[in-house]
Amino acid sequence: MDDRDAIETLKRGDPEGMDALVAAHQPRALRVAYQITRDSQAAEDVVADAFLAVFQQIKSQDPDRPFQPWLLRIVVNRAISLTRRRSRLQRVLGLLSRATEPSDPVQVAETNEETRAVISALDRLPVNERAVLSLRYLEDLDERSIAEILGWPIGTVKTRLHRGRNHLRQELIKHATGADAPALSFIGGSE
Amino acid sequence: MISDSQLDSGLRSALKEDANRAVGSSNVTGQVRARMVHGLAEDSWSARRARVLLSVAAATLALSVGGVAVAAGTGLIRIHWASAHLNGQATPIDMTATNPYETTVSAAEAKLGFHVQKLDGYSAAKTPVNMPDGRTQSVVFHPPVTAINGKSVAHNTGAVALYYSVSGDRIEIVEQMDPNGSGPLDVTIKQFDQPIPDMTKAAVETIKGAEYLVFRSPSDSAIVAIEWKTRDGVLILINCNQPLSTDAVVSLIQHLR
Repeated sequence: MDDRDAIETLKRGDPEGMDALVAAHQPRALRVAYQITRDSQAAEDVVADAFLAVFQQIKSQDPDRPFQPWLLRIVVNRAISLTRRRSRLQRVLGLLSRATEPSDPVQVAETNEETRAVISALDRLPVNERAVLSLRYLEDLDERSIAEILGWPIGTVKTRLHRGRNHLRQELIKHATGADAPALSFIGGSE
Repeated sequence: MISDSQLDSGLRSALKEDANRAVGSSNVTGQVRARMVHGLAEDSWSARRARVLLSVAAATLALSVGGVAVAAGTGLIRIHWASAHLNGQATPIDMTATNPYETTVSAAEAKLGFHVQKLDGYSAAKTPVNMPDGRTQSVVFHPPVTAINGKSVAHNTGAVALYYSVSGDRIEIVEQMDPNGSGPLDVTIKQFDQPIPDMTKAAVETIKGAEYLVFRSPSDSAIVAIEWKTRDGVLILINCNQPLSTDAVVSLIQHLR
């Protein structure tokens, strides 16, 4: 069942239409939501919420309009909103306690050093920049598609991509030069 | 210095590796389905599926404020027709309930406090059932709804949903104690001011001498769903993935033990 058939099926009241949409689009939606929220449980909630929003609005959905950008737009907006709310809460909690969360040893072992360094640097970027970098590099979307999903002018997408990459580069260099810095094979080349 | 291509390559592979590790095996299908059932009561199938879970509380609320039309039926089942504008926006019902979960019939019975009727003796009925998303499903417990639109709901014990495949058709049987006790089954159904193509038709019908609330397909009058109340005060709803003939549905009911 393709997206158009699934939407028509759902409009007729058959929940299998939703099952088909979820099966086809949840992997990408979950990846994007996770890279923005940095929390797998939050990503699942965001994606489930997004599909419910689709369900509520399905009757007004134009079947000729591509489904995926619509869904990703909902996912990204909700993930950014959730992350900002959590970020405010974490700032408050941070004032109360400086303790850092213990690392999960299994997770640490499963993730190589380069990945950890990049992800750790990403965590320190503003959520808008994380969203645009995730869509560009995780999902390989071009700038026009990203602009459509995020509802930003294409110039804004370009600016935030550029700024996000520079911030990421600075974060990686800053942390790669520390005494306990991991060996990053992709740091050390010259432009 | 990190070159652009090195950064792009490192970023691309790190993001993919990290995301696949974190959510590569996640699946929200069950959560979406469950919240579709609990979260919305519109004019069509979502209301139909959710009715057993919600009807008691909703009907009790509606009757208590006196905002529902006069009962059209008599006896054990009463339909309350609520006028609605076709072009009006459906009002989502904000339900408060924890997520449904897979369980066993005996565990569900312990929670619900009544005997759950099954199709165990019916050789044509197979369980578990393969769902469209690849999961298998047999018995799902729906915890009690604790609030509707912020108002607490009392006397609700939750519901159980049983899944069977009968001759290739997926059947869902939902059972819940009616907190109205020995009172009639009160059902509120929207009545729109304009005809709606493909809208199922609801009516109280007498089949084999007993009253049922029957939802029939407008195209061929096959049964899409059927609901009734047992003498023990249990509400039973059968949802048919594909509309079934009256005889096929009667056969299902007769095999429920």
